[in-house]
Amino acid sequence: MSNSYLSQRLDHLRDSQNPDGGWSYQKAPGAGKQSWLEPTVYAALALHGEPAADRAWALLKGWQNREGWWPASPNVKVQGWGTALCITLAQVRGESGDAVKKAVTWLTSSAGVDASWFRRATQKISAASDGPQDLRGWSWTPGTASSVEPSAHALVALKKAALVSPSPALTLRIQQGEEQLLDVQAEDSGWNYGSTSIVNGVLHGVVDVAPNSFPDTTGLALLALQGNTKLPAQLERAQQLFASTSSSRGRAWLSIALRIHGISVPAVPPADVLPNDLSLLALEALAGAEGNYAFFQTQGATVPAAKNLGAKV
Amino acid sequence: MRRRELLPLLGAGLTAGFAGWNGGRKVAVRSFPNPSVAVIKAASYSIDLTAKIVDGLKACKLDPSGKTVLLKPALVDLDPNGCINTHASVVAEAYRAFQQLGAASITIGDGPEYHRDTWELIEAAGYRQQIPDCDSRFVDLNGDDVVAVADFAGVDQMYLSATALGADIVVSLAKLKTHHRTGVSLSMQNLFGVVPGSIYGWPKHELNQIGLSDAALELTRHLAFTSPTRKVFAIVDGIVGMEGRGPILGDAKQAGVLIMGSDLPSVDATCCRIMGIDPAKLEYLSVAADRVGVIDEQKIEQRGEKLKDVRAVFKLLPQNEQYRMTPA
Repeated sequence: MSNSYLSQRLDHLRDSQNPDGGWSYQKAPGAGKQSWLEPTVYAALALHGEPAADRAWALLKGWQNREGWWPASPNVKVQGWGTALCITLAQVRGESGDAVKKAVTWLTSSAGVDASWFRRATQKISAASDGPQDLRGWSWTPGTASSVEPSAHALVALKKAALVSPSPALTLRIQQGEEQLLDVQAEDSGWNYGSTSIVNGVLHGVVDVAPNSFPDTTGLALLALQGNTKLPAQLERAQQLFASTSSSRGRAWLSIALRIHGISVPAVPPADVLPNDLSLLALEALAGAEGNYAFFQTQGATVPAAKNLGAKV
Repeated sequence: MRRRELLPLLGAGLTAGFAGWNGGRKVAVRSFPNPSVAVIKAASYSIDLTAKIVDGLKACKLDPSGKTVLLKPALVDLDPNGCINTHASVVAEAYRAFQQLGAASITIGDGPEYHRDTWELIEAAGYRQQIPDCDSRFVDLNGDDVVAVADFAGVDQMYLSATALGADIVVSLAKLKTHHRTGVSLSMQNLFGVVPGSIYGWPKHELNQIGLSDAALELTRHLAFTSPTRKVFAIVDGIVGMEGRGPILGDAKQAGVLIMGSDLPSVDATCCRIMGIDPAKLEYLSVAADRVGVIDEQKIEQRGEKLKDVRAVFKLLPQNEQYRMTPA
């Protein structure tokens, strides 16, 4: 991907920052304008080192709940899956104060309801032939089933936190999360949105999806499983998905994951029109060869040097 | 299936009867005025659908002049056979119909329930090709601003799309489909797209926790009855529908019909009768009946075609044959 590809995206991000320092999902007539955690975190990572990113972090810090979690947006009173993204951003920024520690503690103790006593008890009973299991993923919202995407974000966040402040509790929770993620692989070695297991008496998902993998969740799962050296089939599947998908979001997460796993990614011809979705735009900026994709690394240096271009510092 | 997956399934079987059986049914039963449902023949997507939709809107006495309108199609998944999503022609021509009837502003928006890349769906579904300035007219409801609504099926606060709650008319532009779990997926379930993924994720497990029937009922209630100025309306794309293992893995079924009305349960019940399904046998419609609308055929004022002239019996999964309409 050329520098113009990246600089075009970074310029658009700079131009579309809300006055409060955050970003909305969509900047278009009729679309919402309030700042949301997810696009704000991705944009702050893409623009790391710039005042725009500092303003974003200042905004996000103010959203954190006293219990440690972040909501998806300041007027939303639901414990948010985006807490993991804020921890990742905090680690990138070298922030490690009490607020971040509280968030790590909250994330460590949260889990999808498939990790409830009932589910775990039935796993123990039925594990006789398949070996013991202690699978604990993370869910989008409290009291619901684990899904691949929130689990992947949580694993990246906790692995980054463990580089700075390792602890046995963190190590155990990461291991449980990794096992859960490996357990819900699709038959084709990639990942879709999660298992087809049972939660509170109902099957996952409102809809019945084919048991094949999706590009975005496969990229995210591989990102979360950094350090696992037994993933050749999964990485091959990721490359196949990268070549075949028409999803820009999928391509972005696959690019980030493959690059971090040391696999080169072919350049994508720049689109005529920039994406409407600012979270996607920021992800594309992060995913480029010159982008800040290394911020999702969970091994080695905790704060890779920012590589973005045209920074207006 | 691995053995350790079996016990949770058994546990689920025991608890399934209780799951999701909570808040929605507390909605009081009341009487509703007899609703109108228009059934309009439309042989294909290449005919003048604008005129057909205008006819349907007029037959149901919906006057959108001066109103803000949200057209909410069913965008679900990549759809190579053209039977999963609301067809682009129906969306584009509904847009023109509302424009022709003087709507003040028209927005198109959806928040797909499990497919994260909404813009990929828009492109693949042909919306960009058929709807002028599609990107500037479309709002991804998964990332929309939100408004909290209270007392939603036992949930203290549920967040819904601000664009939907702010519209004068929310049009559920649904697809005529079977559903492997609920029997059918029509205009009421299409409202799941106003629940934002930014909070509830992909898929929106929260709706499962609430229960699909209660979630459909509560979304209909909140959109149709909690504001004196907001109305809902349904246009179901039954030109080509889906039978069998819907709402994603089924097969295309030509039905050649558009079904419209402002009482969503009555529209869905009429769709069921066209599909050869007894609406009273479906949990979500029996729960919705007389709480957010009408399903009794005797009370529905049928406009346009007679049902017997447009009946197209849809194949059902074996476990859903129990929903089949008993022959008269």
